Amino acid sequence: MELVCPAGNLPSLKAAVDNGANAVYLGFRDDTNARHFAGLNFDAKRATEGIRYAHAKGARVFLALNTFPQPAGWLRWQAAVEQAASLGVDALICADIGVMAYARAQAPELDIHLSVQGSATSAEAITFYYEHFGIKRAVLPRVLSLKQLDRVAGKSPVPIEVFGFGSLCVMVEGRCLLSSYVTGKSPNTFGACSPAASVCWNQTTDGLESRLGGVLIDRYASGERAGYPTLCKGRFEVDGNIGYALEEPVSLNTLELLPQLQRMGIAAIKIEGRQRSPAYVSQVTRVWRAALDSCARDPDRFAPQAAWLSALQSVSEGAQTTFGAYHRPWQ
Amino acid sequence: MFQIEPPGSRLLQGLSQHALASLLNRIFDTALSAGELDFLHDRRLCVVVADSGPSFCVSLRRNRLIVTPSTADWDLRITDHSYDFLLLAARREDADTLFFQRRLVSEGDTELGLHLKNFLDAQDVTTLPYARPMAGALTGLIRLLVRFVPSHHRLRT
Repeated sequence: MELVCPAGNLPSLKAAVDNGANAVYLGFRDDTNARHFAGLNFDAKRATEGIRYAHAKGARVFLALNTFPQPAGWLRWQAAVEQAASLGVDALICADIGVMAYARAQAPELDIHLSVQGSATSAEAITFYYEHFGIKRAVLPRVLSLKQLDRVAGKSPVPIEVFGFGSLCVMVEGRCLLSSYVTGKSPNTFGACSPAASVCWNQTTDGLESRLGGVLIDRYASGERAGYPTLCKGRFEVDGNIGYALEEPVSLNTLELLPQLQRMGIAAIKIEGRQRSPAYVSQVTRVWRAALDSCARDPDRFAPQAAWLSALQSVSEGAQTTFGAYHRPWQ
Repeated sequence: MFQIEPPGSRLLQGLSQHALASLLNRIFDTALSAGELDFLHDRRLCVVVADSGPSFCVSLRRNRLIVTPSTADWDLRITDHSYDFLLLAARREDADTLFFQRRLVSEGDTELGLHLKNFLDAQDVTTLPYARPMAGALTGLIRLLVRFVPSHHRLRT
């Protein structure tokens, strides 16, 4: 299985490649990708250098163009496709069918991967994208159980990429509008669940409070591990009880599921975290490279090493790691 | 919370604000010329080293980084222990990790903090001025301070 790692900047790209990533994914410095934050991502100069670096070491570069253009912004997505083609990336990760159609027509040399934001949860949906846009790979949303994943992967006309590690998105990706209720901006069009300008952290006598768009979404007690200030991971009062009404701030970790994913024929494991630093990318890539190599050698006797698990636990968002939807027997 | 006694703190206290400003301007010379630090223009970033006392503000004026004594009217305040600041400077720990673990405290303008974090992460430390002596000094200081840090906060190597 291929290891696909995040790069929010050039040092992270180099860290991923140096620690054994088979491919890195990155975005441009605007709302054409789903990690749209000030100072993050690549301008043309740094992208050129990054692509050269990755290619020289045998790693591929994917460009995330995975938000949904609105009428007034279409030219930015069009320009991004053209720039990606002239820079020589290996693939575009797209969610919007207009962007895919444009890329297919204007830059047929670029592979198209269906983004997790495309939210395809059936082999039939993947087949549709394959037949109409010639996608070469599909990244599945983190909502499928292992049983469901097996069924989709078995019938998919293209290789499947799944998320292996990182902060968890709990809603149906590409269709989540939650944060727009308090920020006025949707992650699908603006490229961020919690636009930084809408986020406020405040230390009070009751604890560390996080607010999104002025709305209190969590209050962490002293010493309690914190998470990203997204609405889905906030604590709310429901029927007189305060708790995580939607999902807890946890990180996905599928290390233990690797043999099963390998047996299903999953083509690639994706690591979340373009917003994280080069230190995170190094730490996580190193662990996953070792784990994937170990699993490839002998899947029947594969067991995650304690040091791998504790390294991943230490960089995780929130208090714990989870199998996410992969382990939902009822689904 | 934990207390680290002497070594790093003395060094930080000894480094005058003027010297720190000179060092920062030299290190980020290329970024300053490219306007990459414009987001700090007339904004006050207050840095508080929790275990050793010194705190100071950094700002950008006339395209130069200036360091001043800390004031109450900061736009962004970052608080952590010297060991963690050294880990961040040495690229050995991730700021979000420290934040999740409630070690690094960021208050004020979140977007300014995020921009600062992303700016620093994007720097290729191997090509910055003083890269080699800085790396050596950071490694030495981290080694020196690690014995004063609780084991669960020590970086795994």
